[in-house]
Amino acid sequence: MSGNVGGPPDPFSLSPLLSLLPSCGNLTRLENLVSSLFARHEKVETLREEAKSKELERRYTAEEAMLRQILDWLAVKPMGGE
Amino acid sequence: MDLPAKRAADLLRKSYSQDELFDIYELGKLWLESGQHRRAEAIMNGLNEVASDFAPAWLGTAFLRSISGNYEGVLNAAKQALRIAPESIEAMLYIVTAALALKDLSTAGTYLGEVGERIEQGGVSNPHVSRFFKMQLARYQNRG
Repeated sequence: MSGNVGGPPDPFSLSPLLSLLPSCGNLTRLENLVSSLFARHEKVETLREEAKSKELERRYTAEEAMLRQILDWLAVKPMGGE
Repeated sequence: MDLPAKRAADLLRKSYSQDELFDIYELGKLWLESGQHRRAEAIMNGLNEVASDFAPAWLGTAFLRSISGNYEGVLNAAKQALRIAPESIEAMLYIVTAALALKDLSTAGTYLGEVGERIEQGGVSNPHVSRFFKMQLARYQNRG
C-alpha cells in the first residue's frame, strides 16, 4: 500500500479502467471558445432542423447535445476566479 | 456512406481544431471522473460524430460501455481507438478487459503478450498501465 494517508485517493484504486484514459486537453482553454461554440450550436440546430436524411439528423443531434453540455458547463463554471 | 453524408461528415470534422477536440474530450473525462456519465456520454458521442478519427473519445466510449457491462461494445470502441492509434497500449488493455469478460482467451492472450513486450522494452509512460497489465495478466492466468 502507498503511504497516502490523508492525501487524495489514488485514481487507480478508485477506477483502474478510468485511470487508463489519456489526459490531453486543457479545460481553461474551453472558456475562450464560448462565442464560437455558441455560434456553432446555433448553426447545428438549424442544420438539424433542415437535415434531409435520418443519418444527417442523427449526426447533428449528437453534436448539438455535445455542444449543449459544454455551454451548460461554461455557464455555471466560475469564470476567472470570480 | 453516401456523398451528402460524407460531405456532412467532412464539414463536421473541419468545424473543430485538434486542440478543441482535446479540450472538449477533457471535459468529458472530467464528467466521467465525477460520475456524471450521461453528460460524459453526450460529449463522447458528439466527438465520435464530429471526429470519428479521434481515438481518446473512442476510449471514453469504451469506458462508458464497460459501466453498463456491454463488453461487445467495449471491444468495438477499443478496436476503433486501436485502428486510429495502432500504438495505443491503453486501447489494447481495454480490448484485453473486454475479451476476458467475453471469455475470448485467444484475443486476450495476444494483446497481453504485446503489452507485456512493450512494458519490458520500457515504452510505457503511464504508471497505471503496468499495474493494470498485471491485474489483467492475473485474470488471464486464473482463467486459462
